[in-house]
Amino acid sequence: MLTIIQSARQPVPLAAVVREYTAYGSLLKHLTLRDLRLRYRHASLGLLWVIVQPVVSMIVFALVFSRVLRPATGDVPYSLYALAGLVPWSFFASSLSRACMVFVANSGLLTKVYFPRAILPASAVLGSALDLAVGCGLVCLYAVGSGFWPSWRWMLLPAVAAQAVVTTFFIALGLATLNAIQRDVKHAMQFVIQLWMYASPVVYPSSLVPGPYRWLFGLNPLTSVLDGFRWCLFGTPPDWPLYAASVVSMAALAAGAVRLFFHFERTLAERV
Amino acid sequence: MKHAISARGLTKIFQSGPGGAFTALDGLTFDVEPGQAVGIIGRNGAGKSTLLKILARILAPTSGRVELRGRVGSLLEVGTGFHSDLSGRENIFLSAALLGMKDAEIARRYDAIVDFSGVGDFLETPVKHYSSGMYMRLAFAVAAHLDPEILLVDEVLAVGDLEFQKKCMQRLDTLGQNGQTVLFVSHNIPAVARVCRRGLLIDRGRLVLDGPVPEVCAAYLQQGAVHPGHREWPDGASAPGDQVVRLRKVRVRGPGGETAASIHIGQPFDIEVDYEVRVGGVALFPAIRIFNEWGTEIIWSTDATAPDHGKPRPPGMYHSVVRIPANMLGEGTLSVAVTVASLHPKKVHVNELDCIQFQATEVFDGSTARGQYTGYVGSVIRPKLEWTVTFRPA
Repeated sequence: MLTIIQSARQPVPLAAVVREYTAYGSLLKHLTLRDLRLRYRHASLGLLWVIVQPVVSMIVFALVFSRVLRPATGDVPYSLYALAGLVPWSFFASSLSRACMVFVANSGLLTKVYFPRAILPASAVLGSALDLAVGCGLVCLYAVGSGFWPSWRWMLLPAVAAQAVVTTFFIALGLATLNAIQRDVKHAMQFVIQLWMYASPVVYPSSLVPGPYRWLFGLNPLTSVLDGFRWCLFGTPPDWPLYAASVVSMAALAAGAVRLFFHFERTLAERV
Repeated sequence: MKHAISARGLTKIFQSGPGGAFTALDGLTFDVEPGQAVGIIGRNGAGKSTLLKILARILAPTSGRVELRGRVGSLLEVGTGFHSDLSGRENIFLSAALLGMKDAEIARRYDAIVDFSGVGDFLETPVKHYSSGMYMRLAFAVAAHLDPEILLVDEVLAVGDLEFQKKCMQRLDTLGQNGQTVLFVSHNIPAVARVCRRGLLIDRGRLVLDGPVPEVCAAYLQQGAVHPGHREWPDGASAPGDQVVRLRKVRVRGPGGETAASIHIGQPFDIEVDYEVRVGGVALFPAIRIFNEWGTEIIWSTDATAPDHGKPRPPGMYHSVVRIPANMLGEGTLSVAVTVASLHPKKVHVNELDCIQFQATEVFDGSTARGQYTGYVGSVIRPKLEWTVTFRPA
C-alpha cells in the first residue's frame, strides 16, 4: 500500500479518495452508533422524543395556519399535510444544526488521528436518519388513521427518505466546513434554518405562492424532497418542472459543498 | 529495496495571524528502510511532533512530499476517540475503527485486546467509572494491536504507572522485532536508545544529524542547555558551596582520558570532582550521587578509599577521581550531583544537583550483563553476576 503525502494544494486523485472512504466504512458505522447511544441511552423516553418535536409543531401550525391562511391542501387534512412536511423538515433542521458543529466539536479527533474527514458529518446525519425513519412511521400511521390507504407509491417512501438524507449530508458537509473556517456560521445557522423553513413548502403547499414567484422554489433543494414525500403519501402530484429544477439545485449545491470541503479538508486540523 | 518512508524537502509553515509565520519544518529529507526503527530526537519546538503529524496525515505539509509504503499506524495519543459515557467494549470498537481497523479485524483481535488490557470484567461498564490506570491500559491495548507496517510513536510512554510503562516498552520492543518500521519521538532518551538503532536529530525544523543513536543522543545533549560530561566554575567566589568549600569542576572522563557525554556501560570510566577548601581544619566528606531519569538515586559514593579520608583538610585545591567499574550502571540519561558535608559541625557545604549529565549506552557486543539477550532489560544497575549452571540431560 503506497500513501503519498503532499501539500494541501496538490489535488488528490479520485481513485485514492474512493479507496480511503471505503477503507473507513467501519468508522462511519461506529461513529453513527456512538451518536445514537449518546443521544438516547440516558433518556428514559428514548426515541419517543424524536416524534415529540414534529408533533408539537404540527399542532401549533394546525391551530394557527389552518384558521388564518386556510391553505388549499386538497382532500388531505391540513394537520396531516403539515406533519408530512414537518417530519422531513425537523430531520433536516436538527441534522444541520448538529452537523454544522461537527468539525469544531470533534477537534480532539481531527488533531490527533487521521481519517477521511467527511465521515464526521456523514455520521451526524446518519444518526438523525433513525429519527426520520421513526417520523415516517408516525406519518404513515396518521395517514392510515385519516383514511389514506397505502398505495404502491408508499414503496417509494424509502427512496425519498434517502434523497432527504443525501441532500442533508451535502448541505451539512458544506456548512461544517464553513463553520470550521468561520465560527460565525454557527450563529447564523439559527435564523437561516428558521427562514429556510418558511421559504420551503413545509407547512403550506407551494401552490399557495403566487405564480410569478413560484419558480423560486426551484432553487430550493428541499422542494423536491417535501413534494416527493407528499406525492408518495397522498398522491398529490408535484409541480414537475419545479421538482426537476429543485433536483438540479440540489446537485449544484452538493457539487459546491464537495468542492469547498476538499479544498479545506487537509487543513481542517489547523482550523478547529 | 524500496524505502518504507521517503521524505523529500518536507516543509511546514504555520500561519499565525496576519503577516506572522512560523517555520516548523524546513526542507526535511530522509529515508527509512523497511523494518528499521528510527528515533526522532530534538528539543521542544524542534519540529518532531509536526513531522510525526504530517506522516500521520493529520497535518498537510506546506511543500515537499512523502511516500509511505505500508499501512501506517500511529500512537500519537492513546485514548483518542474514547468517550466516557460509552462502555469499554463500545470504546474498543470505536477507537479501533478510528485507528483504521475494519470490523472483521477488530473482531479477530478483540480477545487479544481485552486480554492485554486486563479490564475483562468491566467491559460493559462506562469507562468514566474506570480508574485512570484501567483507562490507559484499555486505550493502549487497542493501539498496540493495530499491527501496522509503519508505526509512529509519540511520547506514549510518558503516561501511566511504572508497571504500565514497562508493559508498553516490552510491546514496543516486540514491534521493532516483528519487522515493523518504527518512528519514535520521545524525550525519554533511554527509551529511544533501546528501541532504535538509528537517530535523527532535528533542530529548528532542520535535520542536524542522522546516525547511530548513541552519537545522536550525545549531540542532542551537547546542544541543549544541559551540561553534558563537563562543567566548570571558574570564579571561586560564585561557585556552589560556602565559605569552607567550593565546588570547581565536575567531569566524566572516558577510557581514553577524554571528556565524555556518552559512555558505554560495559567499560569502566571516571568521574572527576575538583573542589577548593577555603577554610582548613574541617573533616570533609565529598560525595558523588548518580541519578537516573526517573530521579532515582542509583549510586552514592564518598572517598572512603582515599588515604586522608575522614581527616581534617588543609586549604587548597583537591582533585578526586572516582572510578565507575564496567557493568555497574544500566542504560539511561544519568545525572551527577556532588555534595560535600562535614560531621563536626554537622553541615552540608555543597549540595549541587544536576551538575552534569551523561548518556549511558550499551553496545550489543555480548560483553555486558545482557550477553546475547537483546530484549528489554529494566534494571537500573547492571552487574555482570557469576552464574553456575549444572545440566542433567532429560
